[in-house]
Amino acid sequence: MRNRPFTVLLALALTSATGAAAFAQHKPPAQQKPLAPPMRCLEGRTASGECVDPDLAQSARQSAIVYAIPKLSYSSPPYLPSEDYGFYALRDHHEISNLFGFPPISPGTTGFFRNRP
Amino acid sequence: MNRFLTVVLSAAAICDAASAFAADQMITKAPQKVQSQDSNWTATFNTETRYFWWDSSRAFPTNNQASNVGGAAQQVYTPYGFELDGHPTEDLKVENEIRSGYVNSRQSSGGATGSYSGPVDTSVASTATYLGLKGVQPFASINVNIPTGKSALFGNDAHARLDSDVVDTPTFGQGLNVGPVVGVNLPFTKSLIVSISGGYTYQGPFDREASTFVGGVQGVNRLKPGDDTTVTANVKFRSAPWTLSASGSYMTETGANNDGVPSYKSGDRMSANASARYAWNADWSSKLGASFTHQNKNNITLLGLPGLFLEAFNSNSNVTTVKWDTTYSHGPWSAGPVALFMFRDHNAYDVMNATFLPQKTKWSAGAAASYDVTKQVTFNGRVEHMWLRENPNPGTDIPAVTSQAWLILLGGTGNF
Repeated sequence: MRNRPFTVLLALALTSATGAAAFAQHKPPAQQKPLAPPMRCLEGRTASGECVDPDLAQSARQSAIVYAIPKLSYSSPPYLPSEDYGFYALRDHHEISNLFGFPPISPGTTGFFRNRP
Repeated sequence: MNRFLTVVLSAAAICDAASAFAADQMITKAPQKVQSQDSNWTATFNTETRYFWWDSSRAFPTNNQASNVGGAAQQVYTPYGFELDGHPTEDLKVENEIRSGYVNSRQSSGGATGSYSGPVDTSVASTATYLGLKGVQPFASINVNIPTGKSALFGNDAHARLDSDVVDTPTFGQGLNVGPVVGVNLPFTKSLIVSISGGYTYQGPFDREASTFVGGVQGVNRLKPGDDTTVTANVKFRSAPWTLSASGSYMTETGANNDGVPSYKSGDRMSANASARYAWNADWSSKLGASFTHQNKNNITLLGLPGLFLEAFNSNSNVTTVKWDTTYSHGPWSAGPVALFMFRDHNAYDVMNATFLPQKTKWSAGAAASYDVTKQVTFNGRVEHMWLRENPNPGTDIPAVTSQAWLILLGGTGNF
């Protein structure tokens, strides 16, 4: 018991030295290798967590939308003009001839709407 | 002894707290990396002016008996579009687009001239994609065609509508059309993506000039086209030096009405296309693409009978196109040749039948180029010459029709 103060001091010194050594391993931020930051993926991730190729994903989605509404607009399709020649915008020949073509057809004169060559 | 133990444990706890605090500080201060761009939103404006010049041994449309003299036409088409894409949140991408244009179109034949000058329709589109799930990115899109163009052209002005195999816009106005689409991107790897979608297009009614005159005034038909339902599947793959893509779609359509009377129903249509781009080296690349479309028999009216009936033979033709281009890129410049071949086979009717549609071919060759003025501004241009031939139509005494046309295009794009 006469050694109690000494024992306390020794314990404190040992723990402080241990803590200091541990703290010293944690270098200041400027000198430390930073942890890997979370990568922001512009077009989402695959099932394994990789970032999806953003240009490829955007192109795939755009094709899926454009080809799902092929008759939305003959004069202003839903993409930029610079992309016009990248898509296959097929015209329905008989629809173009009957609905938009010339001369017009009137059921009153011809009796029926027929497919025009 | 207990006091000693207490002191040791307390000191250890203090050291643990200090270590945890230091680690937390490191995580908080680490910067967040972005995959490819710094800002959340990008804006793009693009416009082009396209000049078409065309002359033919027969005026368009060739099935008009008055077209037996040659015809010549010019069209200046100026489309413009604006796109705003971005991430309102980390897991949500939104793409918005608006497009319209102005056209000046004119055809002359046998001393008569038809012309139209004015706006075309305007399309508005908005797509939202959810990025918070691994391995699947669902999206939904709403697309609208607003009838800012003109659908009824009276008198000779109707001649301003030109061959859709030559010009980019065969008509200048439709009705109010609405096209919702839902789909999903399935990235199997970061470079292999399958995309499937389903779309519906409601085609609104519009006015069209009639062939009847009342009191000397040309009448108007109220046309309601059929509504379409389409399913698609698309594949995109990239592994240097290859970039491959393929698409397939199946469309079915409801019947069309003329002044409320059923008049026509298009047959189901199947389309497929594929392309391959190969990078020869850092400066040279080539792309080859092809498409094929088949449409089933239509439903048409028969004289004197109500309703629609499946036609006896398929009046639709199969259409095949092949496209090729090679590009040389160096610094801000890109340029190279372009070529296209289109083949439309004759339909299934007998050659002496009035509904026979003859075979038609189109060849085109030219060049395209672009120049990056800055990182945000690009100019582009294109020149093409086209040769078209439609075989004779014996049933209507229409001989072979040969045409040639030119396209000169200048455009610009700004990214912000």
